[in-house]
Amino acid sequence: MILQPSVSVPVAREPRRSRGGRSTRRPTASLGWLWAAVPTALLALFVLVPLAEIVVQSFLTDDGAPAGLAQWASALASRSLWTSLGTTLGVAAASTAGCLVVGGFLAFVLVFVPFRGSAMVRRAIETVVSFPSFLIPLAFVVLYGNAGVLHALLGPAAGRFSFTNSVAGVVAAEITFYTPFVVAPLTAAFASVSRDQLDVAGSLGAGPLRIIRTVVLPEAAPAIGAASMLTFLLTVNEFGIVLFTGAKDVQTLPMQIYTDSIVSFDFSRAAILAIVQIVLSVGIYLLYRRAAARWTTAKGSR
Amino acid sequence: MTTTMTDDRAAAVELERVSVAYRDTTALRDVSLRISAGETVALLGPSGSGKSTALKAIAGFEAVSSGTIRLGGRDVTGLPPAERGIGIVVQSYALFPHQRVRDNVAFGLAARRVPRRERAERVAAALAMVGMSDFADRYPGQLSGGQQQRVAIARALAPRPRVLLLDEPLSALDARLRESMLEELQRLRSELPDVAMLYVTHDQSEALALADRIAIMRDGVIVDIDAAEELYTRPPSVFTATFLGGANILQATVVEAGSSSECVELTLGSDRLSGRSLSRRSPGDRVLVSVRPHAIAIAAPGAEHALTAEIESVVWRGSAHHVRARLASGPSVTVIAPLAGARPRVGDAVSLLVRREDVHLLDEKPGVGATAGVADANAGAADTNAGGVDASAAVASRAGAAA
Repeated sequence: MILQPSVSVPVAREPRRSRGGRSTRRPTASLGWLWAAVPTALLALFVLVPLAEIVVQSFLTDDGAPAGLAQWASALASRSLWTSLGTTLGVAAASTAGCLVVGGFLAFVLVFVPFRGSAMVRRAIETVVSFPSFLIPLAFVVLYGNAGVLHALLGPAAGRFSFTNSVAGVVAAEITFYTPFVVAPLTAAFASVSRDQLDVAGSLGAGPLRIIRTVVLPEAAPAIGAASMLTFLLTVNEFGIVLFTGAKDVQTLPMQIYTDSIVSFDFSRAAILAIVQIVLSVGIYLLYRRAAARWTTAKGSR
Repeated sequence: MTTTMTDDRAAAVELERVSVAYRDTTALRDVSLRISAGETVALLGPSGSGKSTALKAIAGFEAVSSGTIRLGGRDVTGLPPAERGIGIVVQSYALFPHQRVRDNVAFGLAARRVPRRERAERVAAALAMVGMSDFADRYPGQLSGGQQQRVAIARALAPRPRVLLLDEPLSALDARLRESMLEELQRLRSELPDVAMLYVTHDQSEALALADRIAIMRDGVIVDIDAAEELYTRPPSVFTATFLGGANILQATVVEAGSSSECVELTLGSDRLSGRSLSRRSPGDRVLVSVRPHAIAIAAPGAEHALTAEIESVVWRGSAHHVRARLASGPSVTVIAPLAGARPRVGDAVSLLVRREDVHLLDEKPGVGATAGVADANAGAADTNAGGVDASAAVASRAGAAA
């Protein structure tokens, strides 16, 4: 009977009438909000309070003295912030593009090219989501690093293929880890294109490429948009992969925040970068919500 | 299989011993069919009879395991759908939801690289043909089911195919809209005198209304094919007689074959009946006859040259009474009695009058299990005549079991 109070909330808007015509509002209806009070308070305690603390910290010196907008002015004027932001967006964009290409191809093959064992392949791809993200760069290092398997097999010649400690290594690891986030929605989107539409398009003279371009991709566009936004959002906030890759020239915002707060103890600057990161993430999240809503609407209208 | 019709017109579609198999299931078995230019053939059969598979094989959506398909004399058996030059309308319409109506209709023209100016003209003409000119800028989601069906037809016709395939095009519409679209298709049929049409349906009324010839399908084969009227009035088999029009099937014995090979005198128990036969019969032959439920009139008992019966049930179906009557000779028959006249009552003893031209001797011989099967087929005749689609399939499967 735990759900009863929340169920009774609409009743409060439209009071029942007794036989005599008198309104008999349920006494518990007006207290329905109490059920939300505890989780809301917990949310505020564990999320909003730290966020507020970060905002406050961004206006203080490291000694705790009020600094006004001086810290912000200094941080925004520093080249490293914009470099980090650019690197973050660049790596995220490249990773997202890579995920779309690889994930889109995989999803297409899984849906439109039937082969024995496709269900197993799909499950194997989905399993990657359960891994911790830093496992991928670790595996890369073991395989392709300077002391890795490839190096043992090829000797010094393997150095030509060494990419693990570079932007390419970060992007490759992110593509490997986040591709399943693209495969799942695109598989669903491709599968929802009706067989009849593909058949009719073929009968009208369209070849496979035209069918993909004019029927499949436009119908999957909202899903592609949603998957892109989700992947971009996740890669913008990615920290473990960048840290474990150990690429010195890949200084993303999360890495910069980590360095400022843990290594340099510059909490004010770390707080400012964190706020920039939050604003960026929330902005991308809102775009993702919009794309996801369009996808849901498109699915519903079919 | 009956194929009595000859046609001098050029063949638009030819199937030569075509089979389609999926692993251990054969969906289509050695089907041969010829459709002339300008002719409409309906593939009629219950679910799973292979009619849609036949259409998909012609369209190129299903690979054939053996046989040859020719369109306009050209062997297209191994060609992809894009190279067959057919138009197709499917039950789900399959319009592209992200494209406006005009872009949907232009799809085939763009795929065939028709110049833009000509494309616009042909789209306008196709939309005008189906009365959808005012809806060119709408999206499919903004149209009703009937309107979407019209757009689907316009899209199929815009590239001017020589063959139009229609796969249960009206089954997603409600009864009233279906009637209206049936009239539209009849009008369209007359406006496209050179286009061959293959119409797949499980609804006998659609097949009878539209088709020049009807091919009855069952278990992946065409069991009978002939002109629609011929097949209806002179069904060659129990299956066709019951599936197309829900005829009563009765077992009788020939007592006298007249001077004309068509006139035959029959006995059913102690009752006598006159009928028509396409082939010569001899006295003593045991035969199956088909009698349509609406061709039987109920009269007072004691009438001469009539079947003696007792009313078992009466169901009012709006425009007529559907009556079940048990014959003195044993089996029950269904009678569709017009509302004019006294309402038959359960338990009444009656005479059932049938004109000679409405008693058709089937070529099929009564088998060991035929008698029971005949009774089953007759039991479903009323439902079939009520227009129940599912009932038609049920009758067919029951009659099939009998044969």
